[in-house]
Amino acid sequence: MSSDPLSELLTALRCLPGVGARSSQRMALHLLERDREGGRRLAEALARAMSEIRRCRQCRNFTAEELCHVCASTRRDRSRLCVVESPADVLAIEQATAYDGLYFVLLGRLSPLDGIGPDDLGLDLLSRRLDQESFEEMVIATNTTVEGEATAQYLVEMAGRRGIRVSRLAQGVPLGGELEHTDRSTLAHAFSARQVVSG
Amino acid sequence: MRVTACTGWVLHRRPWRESSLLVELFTTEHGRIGAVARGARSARSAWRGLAEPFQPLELGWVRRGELATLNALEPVGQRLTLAGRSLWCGLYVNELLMRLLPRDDPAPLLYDHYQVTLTALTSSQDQAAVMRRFEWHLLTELGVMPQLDREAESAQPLVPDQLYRLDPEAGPRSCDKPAAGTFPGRIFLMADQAKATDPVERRQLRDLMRLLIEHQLDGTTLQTPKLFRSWK
Ligand SMILES: [Zn+2]
Repeated sequence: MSSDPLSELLTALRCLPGVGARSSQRMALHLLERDREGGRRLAEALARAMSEIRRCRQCRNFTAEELCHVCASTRRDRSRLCVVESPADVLAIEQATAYDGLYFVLLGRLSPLDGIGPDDLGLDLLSRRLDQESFEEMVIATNTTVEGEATAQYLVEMAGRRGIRVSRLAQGVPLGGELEHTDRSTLAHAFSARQVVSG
Repeated sequence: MRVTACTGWVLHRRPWRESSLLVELFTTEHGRIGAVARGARSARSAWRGLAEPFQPLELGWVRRGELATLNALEPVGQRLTLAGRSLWCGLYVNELLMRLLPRDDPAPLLYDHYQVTLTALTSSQDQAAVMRRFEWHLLTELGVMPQLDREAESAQPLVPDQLYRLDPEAGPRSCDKPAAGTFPGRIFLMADQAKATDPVERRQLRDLMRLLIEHQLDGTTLQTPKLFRSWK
C-alpha cells in the first residue's frame, strides 16, 4: 500500500541527521516548487550510491570498487596501518596530514554493553591482514571516549602478540586554542600527558 | 523532584535524540538512575566529553517521570586513569551494575565498594582479586548471596578438600563426583576474601562467582567477559 507521495517524501527525508519535521517540509517543498531537476538528480545519485557503494575488501572504507583508492594505490607505504573508527576519520587524516600508509576502518568501536563485539568491527579481517601482510607499525587513531580507549587496548594486544610496533595519536590542547577556552577533559588530559622539554 | 550536588559516576551512555545523551548514573544517595543530558553531544556543550565513565561528577537534576533531566554536571577531579586491561575490568564492573542493580534503589554501601574497586583498578596488579571482591559485595548488597561456608542441607561447616555442588539459591550441597558446577570446599570458603593465589583455584573461584552472577541474569550472558575470552 502506498500512501500519499508527499507525506512519504517528508518521512523519508527525516532519516537525515539534523532533519526534523520542519526542515523536511522545507526541503521537499523547495524541490517540488523550484528545483525538480535537482530533485531527480538527487534521487538518481542516492539510488546509485545505495546500490553501488560497498565496503573495501581490505580496509572496510566505503568504495564502489573491490578496493578503495588508498588500498589500490601503488604509492602508499604498506608497512604502516592506521586504524580509525569511521570513514570520516580517514578523510580528516588524509586532508590534514602527510600520512601515506594504509587504513583500517572499524565502522564503530567495541562496546560490550551495546552488544558490539570484535566481529562487528571486522577484527577477524584485521587479524588475518596482520598475519598475512608485513606491517611494521600500527597507528591507533580511535576516539578518546572510554569505548575508543578500550578498543585501542584490544588493538594493542592484537598488534603486540605479532610483534608489531604500536603508536597512538597524541592528545592535547588544540593549536591556536587558548587554555581558558579548552574544554576541561582535554586540558586535564593534556596536562597529565605533558612532555619534558628540558632538564 | 529536584536534586542538587549529588555525587555520582556514569555507568553507560547512549546517543539520545539529535544532540543529547541518555546517561545511566550510579549516585551516592539515589542509586542507579537514568537521566537525559540535553545537548551534551553538541560541539559547543560545556558537558561535551564529561559524561564519560570513570569520571567522578557532581550532579543535579529535576525529575518528573521515569527519566531525570540533568541541570548540573561538574567534574570533581580527574577521570581515573584505567590503563590497559584495567579499563576492561572497569567496563566489566559497570556492566555488572547495569545488568544487576535495578534503577532507583539507593545502595550507599555498594556505591562505596564501587569507588574502592575503581581506585584499586588504577593501581592494583591483581585485577582478578579486585573483580572477585566486587562481585562478592555486589551479590551480598543485592541480598542474593547464599551462605557459602556451610552445607545447604545439614548446615555443617564445609570441609576444604571435599567436593560440593553450587546451588545458586541455597549454597553448596554435598556431592561425590566432579561435574560442572562442583568445587572443592576451600573455593567456597575463600570467596569472601578472594584470596586465591594458585592459578587453578583462581579460575575455580572465577567460575563459582560467574555461576552465581549468571543465575541472577536469567540465562543471559555477560558481554564483557566474552570479549576477554576472545582475545586470549
Ligand atoms: Zn581500502
